Amino acid sequence: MAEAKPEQGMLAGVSGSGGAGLAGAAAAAPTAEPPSAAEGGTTGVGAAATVWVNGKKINALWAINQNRNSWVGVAGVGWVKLANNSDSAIVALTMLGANAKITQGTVNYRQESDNMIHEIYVW
Amino acid sequence: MPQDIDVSQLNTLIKAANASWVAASTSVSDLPPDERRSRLGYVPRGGEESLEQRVANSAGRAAATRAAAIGAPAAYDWRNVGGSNYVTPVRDQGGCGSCVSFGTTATVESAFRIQRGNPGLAVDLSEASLFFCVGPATSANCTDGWYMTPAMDGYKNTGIPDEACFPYTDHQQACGQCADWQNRATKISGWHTIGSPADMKTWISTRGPLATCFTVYSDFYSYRSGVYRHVSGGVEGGHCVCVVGYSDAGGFWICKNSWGAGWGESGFFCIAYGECGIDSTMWAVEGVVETGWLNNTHVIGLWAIDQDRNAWAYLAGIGWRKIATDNDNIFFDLLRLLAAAKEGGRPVNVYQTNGIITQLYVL
Repeated sequence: MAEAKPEQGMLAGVSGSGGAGLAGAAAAAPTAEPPSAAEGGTTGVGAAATVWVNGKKINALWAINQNRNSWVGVAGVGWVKLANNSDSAIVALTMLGANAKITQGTVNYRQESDNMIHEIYVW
Repeated sequence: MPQDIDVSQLNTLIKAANASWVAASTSVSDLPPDERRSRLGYVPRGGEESLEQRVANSAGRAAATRAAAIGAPAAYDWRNVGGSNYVTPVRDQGGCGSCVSFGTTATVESAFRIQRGNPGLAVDLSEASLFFCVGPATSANCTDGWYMTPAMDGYKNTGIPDEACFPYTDHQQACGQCADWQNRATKISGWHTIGSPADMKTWISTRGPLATCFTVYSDFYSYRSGVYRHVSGGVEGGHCVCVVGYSDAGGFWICKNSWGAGWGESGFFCIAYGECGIDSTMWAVEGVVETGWLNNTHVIGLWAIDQDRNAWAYLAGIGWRKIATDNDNIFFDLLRLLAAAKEGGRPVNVYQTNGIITQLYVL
């Protein structure tokens, strides 16, 4: 059976692609500081394979009874899949996505050429 | 009170040398010669440059040091950064050659305050533990002194508890740490030497103070104020201190000494670039890892990545802390509770083991 993905119609507020930010090197520890109140979403073009999408909100969540298949709905962007290379990583990413949805906190995430979120900050 | 140092004559020599410091009778210059020298406990070993090499290396590039500030501010002083003082109080090593322990500990204490972004952080680590417990394995003692590599390694590999666990007294003694010293120990994540004056300034202005060592000549005991340069007297020995700032305009480093607050400029002194081997090499503390409770803080950020069991929480006033990775359920339990605290805006009490979150209460 082909891997499922969430239906676009279930996600409100999608209007085109979001901003892309700085290219980021894969890091084993967080480097960003909390955003100031004045900071908003950022735009810009990163390296082809890597983009940082900053200043977003998570407005929906989706999961299914398939191995490592969890997505978040990003306001102004649409559904984005969470990296599926590791059980503990996708559960942690899902927890952070859920936290962002509940708190409506600001999210900055790194999306790779596979269109999945590989790193995320939730403030 | 010994009168073997003629301060009046020394000030005449300072003026004749066109130097800009003032000599006076001080708490150290007033001591008998052997007691003065007992405070000089830096004896380089284990591949560290000799005192002579340090003097030659520094002197040979003194002019370049003044100019080597590309990318760094022209002046910096951790005693006053935006009105905040990140330097812990001046201590007095007394009549024991334990300056290596004091210079190293002062550097770690400031690194701790800076890492926390909290100039008021109550941090007072045990110089006695470093010198009398870690030191003996590499022959540290009050008479013969010590050297920097095992002192920095002691902070990295063993960890040093708080002052109350083993208060310092200035005589040779056995290790007398408290029974639970390991639970109270502070470690550093790493250290390295810096050999370039430009890199020293960059480190100081962006990361924190550095430890350094230099040759003490007899006129140094009488330093009262100004920018020290050697003008008179022979070599007395090696000494280690903490460099808390610098000034390119004045051409000097600002150093925290360990001869009490009554010596020098309230325990500090300024020394000219290139002088006495002060800037041949300096020692940098890369970070402080912590063990113990952090009470009543808040989770204001979370971070995760596509790596096994790698998630961090940002604690208000503290910074990023990694979540324990012992196994999946430990990792997820802690992460979920941290997320719940963030969702509810609830305070948390967090226990860190070497800087890793291993237990928490959500209140």
